[in-house]
Amino acid sequence: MSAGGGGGAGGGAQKGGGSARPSGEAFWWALFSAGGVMAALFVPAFVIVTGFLLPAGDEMVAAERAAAFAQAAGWWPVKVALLGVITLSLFHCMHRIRHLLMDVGMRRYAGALKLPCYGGALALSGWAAWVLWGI
Amino acid sequence: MSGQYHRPHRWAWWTERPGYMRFMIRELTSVFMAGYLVVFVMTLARLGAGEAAFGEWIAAMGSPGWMAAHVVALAAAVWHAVTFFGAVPQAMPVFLGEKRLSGPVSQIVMGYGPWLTVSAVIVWWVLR
Repeated sequence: MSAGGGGGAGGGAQKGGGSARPSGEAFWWALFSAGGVMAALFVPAFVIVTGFLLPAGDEMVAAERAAAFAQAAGWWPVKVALLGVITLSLFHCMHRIRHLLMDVGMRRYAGALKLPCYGGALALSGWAAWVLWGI
Repeated sequence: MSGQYHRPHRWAWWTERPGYMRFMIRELTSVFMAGYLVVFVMTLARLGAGEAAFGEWIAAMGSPGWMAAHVVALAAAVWHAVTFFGAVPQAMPVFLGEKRLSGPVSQIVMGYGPWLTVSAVIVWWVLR
């Protein structure tokens, strides 16, 4: 899945001048693409469920929906899928946020931004794994 | 990344044209989705903390402030999906043998179709 990676991924290698050291950008663009697909497929439905369907309705309805949600989230294949969706989506978002910051004047910090952005995505993913393990 | 040259521009360059603005709105969807994902993991954490804790958390989600936040998150997530799958013909051309699928067909096959299917299954599971 290399959607959207073409433009950004090639930049570092082509214009580097002397050394052709790989910048690692291609890796982040690959994660970005995979995460973009996951976020697009799943996040709107997640928002509808946790933001609107679960809090809505009277107590009986709410209890039934909460039970259905808990049943799904407690099944280990769903946990694995959730972790995959959450992790990839977070890397997608943080990659986009890093490039957003670069586009509004922080391009000279492109390297330094990697730690808070990708490190943040990694830390949040670790937290999600720990949370899912505990359900 | 050194050695690259970027023309200096105002930080608010994206206000100059509607197209730039659309680009910026698309990029900003990621900020709201990241925020939602944190709330989503918090929701899962409350689920792990027991039935009472989860019920309390979900009841709080029904407040007007959280509802408004979720409306924004939903708009961002939907716009992300629409723009992401809208780019399928450029980013991931689909070929049947030698024949390249037309734009709208490839968008439906590779994007909007699976998206609506996945969403319908998830919503059905909770509502059934």
